[in-house]
Amino acid sequence: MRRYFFQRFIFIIFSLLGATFLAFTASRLAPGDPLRLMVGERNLAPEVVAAWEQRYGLDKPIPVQYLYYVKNALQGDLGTSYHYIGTPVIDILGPAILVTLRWESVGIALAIIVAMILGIISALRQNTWIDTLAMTVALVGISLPDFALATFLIVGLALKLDWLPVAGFETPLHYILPVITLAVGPTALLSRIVRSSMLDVMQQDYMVTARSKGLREIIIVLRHGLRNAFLPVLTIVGVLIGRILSGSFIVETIFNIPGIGRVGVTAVLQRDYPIILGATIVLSAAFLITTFVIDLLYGVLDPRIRITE
Amino acid sequence: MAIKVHNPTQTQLQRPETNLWADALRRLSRNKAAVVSAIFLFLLVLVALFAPLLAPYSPYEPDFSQVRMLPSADHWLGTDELGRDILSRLMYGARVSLFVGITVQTAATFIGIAVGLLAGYYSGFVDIVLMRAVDIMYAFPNFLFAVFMVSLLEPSVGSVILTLSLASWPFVARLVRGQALSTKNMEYIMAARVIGTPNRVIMRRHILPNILSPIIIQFTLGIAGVIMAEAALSFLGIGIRPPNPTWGGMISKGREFFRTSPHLAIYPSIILGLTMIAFNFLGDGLRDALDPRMKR
Repeated sequence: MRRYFFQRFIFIIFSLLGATFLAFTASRLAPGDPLRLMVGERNLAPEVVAAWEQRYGLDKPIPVQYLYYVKNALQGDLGTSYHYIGTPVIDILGPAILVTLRWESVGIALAIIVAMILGIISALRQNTWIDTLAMTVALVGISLPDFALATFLIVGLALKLDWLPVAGFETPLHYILPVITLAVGPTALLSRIVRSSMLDVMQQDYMVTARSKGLREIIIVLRHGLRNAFLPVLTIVGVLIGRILSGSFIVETIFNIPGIGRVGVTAVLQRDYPIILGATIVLSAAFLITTFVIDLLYGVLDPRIRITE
Repeated sequence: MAIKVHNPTQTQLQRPETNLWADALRRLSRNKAAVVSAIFLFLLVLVALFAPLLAPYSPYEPDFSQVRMLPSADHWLGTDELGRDILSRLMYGARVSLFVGITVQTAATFIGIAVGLLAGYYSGFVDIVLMRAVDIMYAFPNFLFAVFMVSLLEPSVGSVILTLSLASWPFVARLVRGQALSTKNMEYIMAARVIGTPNRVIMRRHILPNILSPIIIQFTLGIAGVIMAEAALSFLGIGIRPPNPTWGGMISKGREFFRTSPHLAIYPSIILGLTMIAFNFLGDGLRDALDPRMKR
């Protein structure tokens, strides 16, 4: 078990280094002298230039520059923005990440809860009209692009009915539309997995045992069924996190939320490479670390894995 | 050398000749959602191909006397903020979406098959090197990689295609490798090897045809993913730029007129949503048809 985690850990480090090296090299091949872009049109004293070159290794070949970048990144220095000259990248990304975490965690929680309920009901009522309806809606939900959904929601709920604010990030009311937009896809995806996993579990011997003991149906479903059915759900969380991170670009742009997605898109439009690179690395790291944590959780939640390894 | 076996009951027992593909097609044709989706997509392809003949107006030519008109007999879906006919722009937009979707997924599938087959069949060193490359690509959330790549390239249809192809092939490679791994230990592969069939031929003639089903399913679903990604990039203003008619770009522009003229954004959203749904229903139907074991 410990060996397995160790292997996973090494793998994550390897992936992260590989991905950041790829991203770093690609962004260095983009046109423009990084130092010039970083400090703008100001005239620089040779000592200042020398100091910058030493700090970021700009006079060295790209692989060495990459090592400087990693060293600085580990100390929280991701360089400075090209567009907001002199502003450290970390000062721009930091607050944005907090904003994204704040509203997306609400969306993820909502998706998990609703998907559990939908999936369980569909599984218990397999092949009835409820099941068919729920699963058709789920497939539509998986298919519908975030921004098409957002269009319908904004026009319907915010403009025609005037129930909710169109965009912004001031009051809890502002959370509702972006959270729904974000949650629909993952809810749909998850509810299908919960359903098929529940269907598997319901046929197991221990479910029959639980039932023959005369336990109440709700206890059978929740304590014996759901607990086991939840495990396969964990395996697709990686896909889900990827989808949610992608969603942040779109949803934050639509609803004008100052999170990392919108910062990233703005940076692309402004060709602000340090920000783009920083955002790419932070998000990839977040993605890899989450998958690693899921792996750990899997072992904790399922004793069978611990024994077999 | 043919052996003739006399069988008096042959005429009664004989079942119409069939094969995997005919069976799959028969099963698919019973799935209503998949059939409707296939017809919708077929029509969409026709519209895209013949857009210059079918479109009632030019998708580029502004007409400032007809700005943001509601749907009417002249303009079935109304006009946009420059007085261009929305229906015509949607038709040309279908060309962009389908062209990007099919080109990218075709490229991704070819690269994925090549890498996946080599890695899965040879194992060992080849496998390790190729799959580490795939792992690195997997470290990026997919759409993030696309956003990152387009930021480095000049905005054009070509760079969107390049970017999305680079982002899509690892999925196919991983799928093909897994399938190749489980197929290569089959007895018929061993038999082929024993009689001295070259590896190249084994991969192409014996392994590939046997793992075609999941590849076809992934191809269908993959096109949907690519069309969605292209629309998302164009929507964010970092993909294919105006005045090129793209569905994502139309929705993005329409957002500015949500309050007064919601139809600018609504129609492209509907057509994009329907296209996604059709591809997913068809992919789902194909999965059930090609691999009945998966069906519940």
